[in-house]
This record gives sequence, C-alpha cells and structure tokens, in this order.
Amino acid sequence: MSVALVIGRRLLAIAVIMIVVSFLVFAILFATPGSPEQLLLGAGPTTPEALAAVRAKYHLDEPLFTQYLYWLGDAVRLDFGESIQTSQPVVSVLGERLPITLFLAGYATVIALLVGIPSGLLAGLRNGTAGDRLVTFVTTLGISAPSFAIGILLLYVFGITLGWFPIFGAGEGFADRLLHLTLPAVALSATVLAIIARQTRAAALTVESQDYMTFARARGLPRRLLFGRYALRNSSLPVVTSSGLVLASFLTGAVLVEQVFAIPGLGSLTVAAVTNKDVPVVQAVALLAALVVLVLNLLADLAYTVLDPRVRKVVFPQ
Amino acid sequence: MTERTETEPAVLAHEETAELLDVQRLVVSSAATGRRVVDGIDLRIGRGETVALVGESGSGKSMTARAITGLLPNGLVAGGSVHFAGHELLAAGDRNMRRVRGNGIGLLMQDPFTMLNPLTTAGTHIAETLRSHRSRGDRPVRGDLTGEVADRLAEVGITQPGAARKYPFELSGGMRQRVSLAAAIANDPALLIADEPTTALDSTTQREVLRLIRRIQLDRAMGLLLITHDLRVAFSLCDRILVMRAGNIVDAADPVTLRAAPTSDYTRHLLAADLPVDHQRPDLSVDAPGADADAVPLLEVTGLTKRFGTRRQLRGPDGGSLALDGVGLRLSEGRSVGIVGESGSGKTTLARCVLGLEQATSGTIVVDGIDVTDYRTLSKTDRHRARRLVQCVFQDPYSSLNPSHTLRFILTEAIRQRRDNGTDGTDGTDGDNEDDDAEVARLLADVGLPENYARRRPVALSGGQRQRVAIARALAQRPRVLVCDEPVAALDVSVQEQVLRVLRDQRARGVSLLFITHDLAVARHMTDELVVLHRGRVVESGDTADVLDRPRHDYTARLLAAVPTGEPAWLA
Repeated sequence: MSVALVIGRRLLAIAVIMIVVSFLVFAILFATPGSPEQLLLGAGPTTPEALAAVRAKYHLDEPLFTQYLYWLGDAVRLDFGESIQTSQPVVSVLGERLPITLFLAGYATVIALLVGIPSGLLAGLRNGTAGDRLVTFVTTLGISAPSFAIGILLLYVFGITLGWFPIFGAGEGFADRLLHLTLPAVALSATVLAIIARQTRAAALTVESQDYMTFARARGLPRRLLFGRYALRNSSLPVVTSSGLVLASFLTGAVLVEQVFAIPGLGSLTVAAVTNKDVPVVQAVALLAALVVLVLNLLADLAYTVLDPRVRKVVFPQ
Repeated sequence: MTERTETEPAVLAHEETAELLDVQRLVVSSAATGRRVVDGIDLRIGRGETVALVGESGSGKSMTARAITGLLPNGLVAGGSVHFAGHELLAAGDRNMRRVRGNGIGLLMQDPFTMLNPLTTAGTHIAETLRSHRSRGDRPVRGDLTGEVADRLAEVGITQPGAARKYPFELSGGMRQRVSLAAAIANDPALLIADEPTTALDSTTQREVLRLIRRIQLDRAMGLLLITHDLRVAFSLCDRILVMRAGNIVDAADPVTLRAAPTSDYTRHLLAADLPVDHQRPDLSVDAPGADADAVPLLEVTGLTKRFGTRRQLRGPDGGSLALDGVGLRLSEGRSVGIVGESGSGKTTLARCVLGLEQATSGTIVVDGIDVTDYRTLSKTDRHRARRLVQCVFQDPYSSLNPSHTLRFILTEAIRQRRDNGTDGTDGTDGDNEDDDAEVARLLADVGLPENYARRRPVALSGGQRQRVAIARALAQRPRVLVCDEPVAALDVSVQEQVLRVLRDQRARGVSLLFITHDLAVARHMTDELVVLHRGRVVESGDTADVLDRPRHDYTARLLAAVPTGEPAWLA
C-alpha cells in the first residue's frame, strides 16, 4: 500500500466523521432556545418583512434536510453566514481571531514538548533522585492547578509585581506578540506539560529497565546515544500516541486563558458568541475544533508510524 | 579485523599479567536490606580461557556478571574486588567503566528478543559500538563503516546482502543473537561474558550459536565467561567449571574431574537430575495400566489444518500463514503421546486447537466420541463434558495462576465448576464446604504438596510448586486427557523431576497425556509415542524409543544431534 493511499483513506475517514459532526453542529440552531428566525435576526427589529427576509436567506421554509444541505454547501465553501453580533461574515471574524489562538497554541505546544519531554526523561532515567522527586512534585501541581489560576498567578507575579511582561493584549509583530503571549502560553501549557512529563517519565521508567538499555551500556555507548537513540526514541512512542488529543485540548483550554489575559483570540470569541447566542459563529468554531482534533490525531498516528519501524513496515510494506 | 586506534584508553593498556580477570571476595547485596545475592566468591579467568559459571535461577550467577561489568540493577551494591587487565573495576567510576565496557569486556545477554533496540537496524547496533570507542577526531563517518559492519556480520555468519539494514523484528531469534554477538565483540574485547546466550533459542540454533562463540573465542584467543544453567553445555564449551548455589561457589574443577568426582552434594544432585536422551532412567519409567496403543482412541485428530491471517489473507491465494498442515494423531486411554519440534513448528497451535482455544481451518478433533472440532456448534452438555475431559497445564507457572487467590480458592473454584456443570458422573449431588476442603487436601496430596499450603497464595511458592498447583487445578476437573504444553521448560533441572514424577503418577492412574516439549530427553522419559512436527507437518511419528533410536527423517536426526552431549566434540 502506498503512502498516498494510506493517508487518503484516513482523510476519507475524517471527511465522513466531519459530515456527522456537521449535522450535529447544524442542529445547534434548533437546539438553542427561541425560534431560529428570532435567533438569526438577533437584536434587530422583528418586523414581518425582516422575519420573511431571514426565512428566505436561511431557507427556513424548506424541509429540514434540504436546509441542512444548503447550510453544508455553504459551509464547505467556508460561508457560515454572518455574525449576529457584528454582522461581519463569520469567516472574516474567525480570520482575525484564529492566527492569535494558533500562535498561542503553537507557543504552548513548543513549551510543553521542549520542557515536558526532557524533564520526564530525566526523571525516569534518574528514578528516585532529587531531580525525579522535583519533577514529580511540580507535575502534580501542574496537573491539579487550573490554567486560569496559574494564569492569574503569573499575571500577578511577572506582569504586575515584576513588570517583565505585558498584562493584556496580543501584541503586534512577531517579537511583540511573543512577549505578549509568553505568560498565557506558559499558563496554557502547564497542565499538558505536566501530563507529557508524567507520560514520558513512565515510559522512560519502562525503557530504563529493558534489556536493550543494559546491552547498550554493556557496549560502552556514549551517554548522548543512550539518551537519544535509546531512551528518547523508545519512550516517545506512547507519548506520541496520546499527544494528538493532548494538544487538541489547547483549543478548549485557550477559552479560559484568553479571558484571563484579555487576548482577542478564538477562545474569547467563543465565549462571547455563546453568551450572545451568536449561532453562526458557534457553529463555525465547533466545526473547526472537530477538524483540529481529527487532523492532530492523524498527524500523531503518522508520526508514530515514522518513528516505529515495526508499524512502518506493516503500514508501508516495501 | 583487529585494527586498533592509538587513542586506546589508558585503562586498557594491556599489561602482561597471567590473569585477565581476577575477582576476589565479590559480594553483591541489597542496599536496603543487606541481603547477599552473591556471597564472597573468587573467580579467575586467564587470557583465552573459557570458564563456565553454572547454577540454577537465583544462584547469583547473572548478578556476578552484572557486578563485573558495573551494571548492577538499582538497589544492589557490589563489594570486594574485580581486577581486569591490571585495573580495579569496582572503584573505577562510571566514566572509566564506559571505556572498559564493550572495549575490554563484552557482555552478551540471554534474550535476543529484547536485547536489541527495536527502533534501529542490525547495522546501526554494530556501527554504534564501533564508533563509540574512537575519539572524536578519528571517529569514522557513518557511511565509511558500511564495509566494516559487513565484515563483522560475516564473522558471525550473516552474509546475506542487506542484512545490516534489517530491523530486529525482521530477524529470527538465532539471527538476532548473532547480531548481538557481533555488536558485543565489535571492539575486540579481551573478555566476553555470555549470560545464558542460547537459553532462549531452539536447540538446533543453540548448537550453531555455541559453535560460533567457540570458533570466535579460539580465533581471537578471547577469554570467555559462560553463564549457564546447563551443565552439558558447560562441559562441551569450557576449560573450567564453577558451580554456584545461593551466592556461593560450591564446586570448581575441569569438566572431566567435575563429572567423575564432584566434591559437593549439590553438584552430585545436579548431575543426577540430568535426563539422558539415549535411554530412560529406570527410576522414572512407568507401567501404565491400560497402555494399549490399539484401544479405541480417547483423542483422535485427523487432517488438522490451521491457517492464520487477516480475513483478506485467508481468502487470498496464499491463504494466510500455514501453522498446521494435515496433522493427525491418536491418543488412547492411559497412553502418552509427545509432540516435539522447534518453535514455530505448530506444537502450541495444535494444543490450542485440541483445547478449543483456537478454531481449526479444516480437519477433525474427536474427544471420547464427541466431535469437538468446533466448540461453538456443540450442545451445552457436550461442550461441558469435552471441556472437562481435556485439561491443560501451561508452560509458565508464574503467569498461569491468579496471584490474588489462595490455593484453596483456586482449587475449590475448579471443583465447583466441575460439579456445577453436572458432568461429574461421580458424586455430583454433594457440594458442602467440608467436602470441598477434603478434596482440596487430596488434590494437594496428589501433587505432593502438604495440606496446609491451601492457605497460601502463588507468590509464596517456588516455580515447581506453582506448576504442581496448576496440575492439581487441572486434575480437579477429573480429566481423562491432560494437555501439557512445555510443563517443565520454565523450571530448574532440580525441580523438573518432581513435576515429571507427578505427571507420571497421573499416567499410572489412567490419565492420558498429550505432552508438548522441545526437549527430547524429557520426551524420552514421558511419552510412549512421538509425533515430530516441522513447519506444521508431521515428518515422523511412532514409538518413542524407535523414533529416538532410529530416526527416519532428517529433521528428527538434526534435533537429536542438537541435544548437548557434554563432550567437546559436540561443538567441534
């Protein structure tokens, strides 16, 4: 089976799941209290003409399934209608917010991986030492503390008391944005970092007691090989498997952190949209979240396949 | 092949000492409790000398090897002195030890299936060892090592092109052990410590790998410390043998002396426990009552074929992989039929089909008149009866008993199951506790365990005792056929015999045995008839004595030749 075929199959599966999700998302409009016309009209004057216009625009007089098809057809062309709050097209609203949240999530991912994996590895390989206990203690804190609490603490210490970082906003330009989003990214990554460190530690503990580690030591291999080619690669396998879901949680986690740091990202948009019953925006965000989860899982599986020759040779026989 | 670099670490500046390795008063103990695993042993190996450390599990032989190489597991500490090529190793520190490991002392471990990094190729394992002991300046680039890696693989008999690019999971056990050997000695160490290097391998592969180690050891005049549980292997390969028990060396002599005049009772005991393959020891022979080969068979297997694969593969042209190919056998009341063959020959698949744990692709299995080929199609009564009649004893007694239950619970559960299924045919009506307890006691007595063991849990038992409990559990069902899948393969020699005696007693009571083993000496003692399996096919079958004394098939002859004789000629 060729690489393209394998990936093609997975993409097809993603498309099927997305259709199911889209149906549920479409149903949001009808599950929300109040009539659809009223919802879509928002705070505007409810004249009979306005209602009729809305009915015509959203095909509300058609059978439900036809309505869904119209909606799906638009959604595929990235047309989710207009935001009820701002009357802007939903896509351009998302377009403003998404880069900020992506930056934040990407930043948090880098922090979580660059700190979580090495510290977990070190703790696992130096089982029982002070370093191991420190990592275990800190990760326990990280797992149990909610991200907004960490965010407020960071804000107070580094933003207000020490004044090292700006305390709100997303910043303009790369360097400024990096500075603005550092504290939020740390707050957002804390839980995931702790989970990754824990998983890596557990994996490294298992790897450490494997015969191949002893055999590698018995051949006098240098420490960097033992850490890299042996411990890191072997312990990364279980971590990679779960990383898809873990990283996807950054999207949902962003809701709280963006509120705390007053960042105009996707999270704060979602909160506002839900509060104001801005159904088109909620629908678009929900679809986006589902797509992100599925794609991240696909990427995690592909990464696993690349890392593990036992899987690689089964999935892609020569 | 022996190109050395000028940057050889000072630690290895070989002085001309007579002894290569001189271990004195070596103690390995638990850091927490002080319990001694190795209790002050002395051990000397000269250049080019081969020394065997023989002992059963828990004797401390592996920990001795680990202590010499400074690779003790966490929680164990070593004391005493280990002198290697004029340097003290126990106080050397990790940095210095790293120079010695692989370079001065190579270590080859037992399990070829776990010793290699699953994520890197055979060639990488050898190349990384070659590179790791050269200083940064003249460390060769990866590509330049291709030729040398190929040379090293050729030395261990791997000459197929592309072998270096294979991952461990693509190689057989024997091939993996060869790759491991090549990696362990890639830097031409003066001493190789081989810790049970062939225990996990098939018998024919074992002989090949031992021969290979022997040849390389002679070619290079390398010192060899062989750690093994098998006295015969030690006799064949080594100049000197040390027998170890409970952390102490109880005997030390050359093979001839040790065989003729062992000084310790333990060595005598080990020698006596040895099962010969060429004849039956009189003390283990059996006269089963109804041992009539021509009686109506209790178990009859005809044309049994089993294919494994995904649904698509099974429908495809190759039809999946063929595990059993038209296997037939008959087992009569009170008889014992042995299934012998190497790993992958289909022995265990056959057992699993008979037990209804695996669905045969075609063929029939009849147990006492019930066609059990497909357990799913049986009526409830027939299924219960068939399941009760055929019971199983598995290989690994450490995983076949639930560790959280007492022996009483384990046995009572089996007794009640027999009664509840109402296929008992004996008492059946009476299910009160007293009766259960009495039966538990009787079952324990049957397998030679005292009654008060009923309160114990498996963790408080030795491997041999656990296996006897597993047998008692099977007997609780009052079976007529006992399928024994390598019942003594995981046990030490000295306890093997106890388990074999228990099984022999059951045969004398009329229980038939389907005895699966890779060990021809065990087969000689435990079976009336033999079925030799090779790649899923029966290549030879007949009277055990006939098959083993006058093998007709090449494969049987090869299996017989692979049984260690204890003579040096065996590895010549």
